[in-house]
Amino acid sequence: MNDNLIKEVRNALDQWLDAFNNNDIEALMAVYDPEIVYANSAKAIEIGIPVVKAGFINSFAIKPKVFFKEEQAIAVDGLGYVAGQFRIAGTNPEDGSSVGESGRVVVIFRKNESGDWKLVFDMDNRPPDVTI
Amino acid sequence: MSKDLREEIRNALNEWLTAFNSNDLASVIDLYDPEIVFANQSNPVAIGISAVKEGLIKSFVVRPKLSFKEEQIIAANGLGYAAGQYKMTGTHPQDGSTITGAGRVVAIFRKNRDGAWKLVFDMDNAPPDVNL
Repeated sequence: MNDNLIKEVRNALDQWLDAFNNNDIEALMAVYDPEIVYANSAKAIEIGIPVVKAGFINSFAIKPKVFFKEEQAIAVDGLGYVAGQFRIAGTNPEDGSSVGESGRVVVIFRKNESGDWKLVFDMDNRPPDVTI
Repeated sequence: MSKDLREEIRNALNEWLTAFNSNDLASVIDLYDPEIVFANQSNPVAIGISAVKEGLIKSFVVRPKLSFKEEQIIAANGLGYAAGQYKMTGTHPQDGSTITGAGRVVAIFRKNRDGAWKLVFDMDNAPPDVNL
């Protein structure tokens, strides 16, 4: 296991988190691999950037911010992942009330031909032990 | 991405499925990486072979059988994963009734120093589009 590769994957995740927390859809989509599979626990699977983009445009209606706590990170040359707990907080656009949820997530990144790490698989669930 | 490496991941997963469907605890446990993280949707995260083994012993009470339908598989030299839908059936030990469950899963394998692929991360959820 290469610590530098793990740092690269963490940096890619941080890039994703920054884009998400700025609700910057174009910056967010720039982090995705064309073969992205988004396996959310509450909705049908989304495959490919256009489908994922449409979903996030809807999600950004609540101006979400996400917090993440790493539990495992492993990487080799070309493929790596980070798993951990997340919490999302946002604001209901109709009444201004706070909305949010938390769970566990794994994000898998693949290095493309230009040497950039791109998000190719994203899955979450809602187990009982999440404390973030 | 190497087709041969993808086949190696498929073989590793099939080996795990065969051992699981035989309810062969020792054979299943032999397929885990020492750093396994089992992120089940309904239970606290299980980290390490001892914790995973404890959960499998409980699971095998219902004599479970799993079927799997692949949706994505990606592999690099040393790390790879398969994601897809699963269906579980079992038998209630007290009344003999059939138990079923279905969802989506990702299984990430890491190659060890002996060149054997071992399961190092396993997460599942239960989205509404699973049709296996």
